[in-house]
Amino acid sequence: MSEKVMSDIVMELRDVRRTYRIGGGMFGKPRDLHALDGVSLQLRRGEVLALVGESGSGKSTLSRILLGLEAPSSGEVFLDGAPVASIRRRAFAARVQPVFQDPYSSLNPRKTVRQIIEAPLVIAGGVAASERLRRVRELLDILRMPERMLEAYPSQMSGGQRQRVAIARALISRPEIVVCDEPTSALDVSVQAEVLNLLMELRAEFGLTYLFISHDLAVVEYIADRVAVMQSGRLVEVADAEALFAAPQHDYTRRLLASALTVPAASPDT
Amino acid sequence: MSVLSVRNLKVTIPTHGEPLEAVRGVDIEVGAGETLGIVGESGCGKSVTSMAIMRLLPGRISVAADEMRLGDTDLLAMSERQMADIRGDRMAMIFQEPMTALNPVLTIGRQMSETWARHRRGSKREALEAAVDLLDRVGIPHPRERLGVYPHQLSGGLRQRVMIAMALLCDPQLIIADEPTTALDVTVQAQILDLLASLQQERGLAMIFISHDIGVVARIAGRVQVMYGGRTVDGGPVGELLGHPKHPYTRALLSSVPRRGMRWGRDTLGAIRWTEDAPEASS
Repeated sequence: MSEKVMSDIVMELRDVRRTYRIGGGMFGKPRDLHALDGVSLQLRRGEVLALVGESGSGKSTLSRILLGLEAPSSGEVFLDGAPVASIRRRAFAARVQPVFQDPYSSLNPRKTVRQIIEAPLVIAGGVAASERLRRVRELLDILRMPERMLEAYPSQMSGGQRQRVAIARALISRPEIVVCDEPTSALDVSVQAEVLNLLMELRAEFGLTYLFISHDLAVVEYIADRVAVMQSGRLVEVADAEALFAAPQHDYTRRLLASALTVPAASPDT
Repeated sequence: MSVLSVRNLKVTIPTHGEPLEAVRGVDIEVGAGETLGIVGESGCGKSVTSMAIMRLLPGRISVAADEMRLGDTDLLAMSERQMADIRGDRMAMIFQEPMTALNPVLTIGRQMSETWARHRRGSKREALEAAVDLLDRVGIPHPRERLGVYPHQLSGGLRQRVMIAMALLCDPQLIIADEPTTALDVTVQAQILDLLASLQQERGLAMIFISHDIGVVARIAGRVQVMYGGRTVDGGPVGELLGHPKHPYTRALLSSVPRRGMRWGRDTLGAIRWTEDAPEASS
């Protein structure tokens, strides 16, 4: 990043559309499904931007586009001001990393923890084996995992441990952005608390920016700086978290907040 | 009088080493028109408990209890065949994932009429009429047309409504719902919970509602049991339990869940320290 000035905006979507052609089959008439219907969004450096919305709202398509796993049908994506299309695939992958929902299916069951965590470096190339091992050890230490885990397999680990391995894998290439897609939904609540705390500590330590997809509004309120609400492929509301939870502007946001069931605050009678 | 009464339920799963005591002496009591919530984390034994009551566990798993009664029927004395008659008729279950619980290659109408025929031996027309009535009652638009569709043609919320309709088809006394809304979107979840609550009221059902989600249980249950390590560690009326949790585990569990209005950096989530080996059984 030679003469480029580090701006406040680390990633940006401009009027991004993604259309899938569905149906057709033998008899049906194919039609276009607008998974993303003109989405413009800025990810600010160092923030936790939460993306909420229901199934089919386009959250996952949006995260796949941010991760470079899919290209927009139209519109543009920028990383540090450069069009993503101009960045080489491997270089891009090192800078934007995912943490997925299910630590049971997102880790290769036949690889050891060491192999899983170092994979992004192996793929990127140019890092010696000894340096890779040093970085894996360092991350295990930060994530408070014992060194003997290095040669363990995912099947020997609990859900919380697996999700830490997934986080370590995401951080090994020292990315700027981590896209977390429901990272705690498959975990027990006590483990969720631990993973949330860990993610927030790592943000400070590594200067990370998170896009955090979640259906759990209490979790979103707990960690997000800003919240983007999606419905039917569109962003209906983007606001600072405290403002959004205090005074939701869009009707759909209000409906989501009203449906959320959280533990009532401790009180004598409920 | 209790619809379901279980005393000292124990479930032991054979393993290569020491047998795993998944449930270690649990009591359950549910009356007509009452909803009992059972909460706990993975491996606490909550699902195994419900499967044991329905006698749906594989034969190699041993189930013992001092008492297990549905109304005045002694479930422990029932043969497999008698239990098959009771399941789906006098007690029914609603599972988390309707896509796996429904048969993917049979139409909704066929599945419902088979259940009816199994227990009621009525004509096919009666069965389909009953199915249409219930599909309508659970809020499925155009119920008559839906009889001919397959589960995959329905959304997750509609599939869960079909499951509820099937569970209610033979007018059971007891419904066990195991994480019935966990796979659903929040707005749909709220609708399904309201539906379950109103059906339960109008039919005077006894319901056991199992969930890892305390917020969901707080919404639907009148009384709650907290399970940990195969035991009931805490319990009581929902307001009292959540408002004044007595047991340290309940307190820890509650404090680990973010509540509305909490912010990282200002509010801290509690951590649960494992004091006892929790069984690794799936739940």
